[in-house]
Formats: sequence, C-alpha cells, structure tokens
Amino acid sequence: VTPLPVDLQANAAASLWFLAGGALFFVVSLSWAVHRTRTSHSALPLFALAGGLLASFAEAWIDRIIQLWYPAEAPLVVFTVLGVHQPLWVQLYYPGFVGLGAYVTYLGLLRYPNGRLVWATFLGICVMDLAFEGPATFFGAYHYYASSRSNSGTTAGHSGSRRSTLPARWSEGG
Amino acid sequence: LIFRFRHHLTGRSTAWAALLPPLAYAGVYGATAWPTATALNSDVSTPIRWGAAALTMVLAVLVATGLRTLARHVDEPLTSVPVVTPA
Repeated sequence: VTPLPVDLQANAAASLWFLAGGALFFVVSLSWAVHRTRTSHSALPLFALAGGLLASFAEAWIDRIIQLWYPAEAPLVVFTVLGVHQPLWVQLYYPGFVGLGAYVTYLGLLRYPNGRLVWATFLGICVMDLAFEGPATFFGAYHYYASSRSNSGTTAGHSGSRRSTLPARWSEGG
Repeated sequence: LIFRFRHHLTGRSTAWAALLPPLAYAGVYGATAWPTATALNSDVSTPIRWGAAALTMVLAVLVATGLRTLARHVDEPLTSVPVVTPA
C-alpha cells in the first residue's frame, strides 16, 4: 500500500474558500430539500439529502484506494479514517451533490421515463465534477498524490508542488 | 433505485430512501473504479495506469447505458421476459 503523504500540507486560503463554499452549498441544498418536501408532500428529498450525508462516510476508504489526500491542516477536520483526514466541507458538499443529485435524477426519470435524460445527467455530473476538482486541486485544497510518485515509490514532481505550502521533505519519499 | 422503488417509498417507508445513495454510491464506485484503484496501488507503468483509467471510463459509460435501459423497462412486469421452454 502506498504510504500516505502525511507531510503534505493544504493551501489554507483554498481550504477556507472550500469550507465557505461547502457551507453555502449545504444551506442552499437543505433549503431546496425543505421546499421540495413541502410542495411535493413527501419527505423523499430530505431523506435523499440524509442519504448523501451517509454516503460521505464512504469517502475515506475511497480516498485511500484512489490516493487522494486531505491535509491535516485543512480546516475543521471532523474525523480521521484509515489515516485519511476528513475536513468538514466533505460532509457539507456530499448531501447536495450525491443525495440531491440522486433525487434530481429521479425527478428527471419521472418526467422522462424513457431515460432520455440519463446521458444529460451523466454529462452534467462529469462537468460539475470537473468544475469542482479543477480549482480544488489547482489551489491545493486537497491533493491526488499518485501522479507524484514513480513506480519505485519516490516522487516525480507533484501537480501541486508549485504551491509554496508543500514541504520539500515530502518530495523525499513521504 | 429511487425510481425503481418509488411505489414503495411512501409514508414511513420513505426513510429507506436514505440508504439508497450510500449503497448505490459504494456499489457503482466499486464496479467502475476497480481498474484505476488496482493500477494506482500496483507497481505498474504509467501507460497501464492510463489504460486502467480509460477502462474505468468505459465501465462508467456501460453503467449509464444499463441504467437508461433499465429505466425504460422498469415498470414492465417480469412476466414480459420471454421464457424458453424445452420442446
């Protein structure tokens, strides 16, 4: 198993921006779910939102196998699983993105039972993921560390190494 | 899954919907990301890692294709499946 890059630090400003964005996204998601619950007379949106929150607890083992690292310096680390820190903003984005994402897809299937919106939803999720992952990794809110290691286990230039927050000692072998 | 079980997700049973995102999320992730996860955690060359990533994307497209097909036939009774009986 690839060693964790325990010395790899976060960009503090980027982390705070993502925390603020996550808080805003969660408030908007919760408000919309409450609104939909009232208008549809079904608690399904709220339970989907809760399901998204539950799904967030699978993030740590996924991070471990895809080699994604949330630095210890990320703001408001809620817990650590398998050595992987989980900052609060993970739990703030998941309910809306995963939970309500599933609910919105469900609404699309209700409207078009022939499945014509499946591909639009698929591409939409791809675009949203890129829009999220791009800035997050560029500004160093978190790091994918697999690309920085050669097959012998040493580093070969990390995509986030341009960030001044990255310590030189990590590039010596993590 | 929510669409498939929508007739059962009423009243108190609506609460079961909270289990569907984590179950489906973990299941689909495992079903599609295994080539990438295996390659990333193995001592393989970069081209093989790229190939594994491409395979993951193909699997994701296959899952979406399967979902679309299932959505089209989700309300069909199982009796509509042709049964081959021995002559």
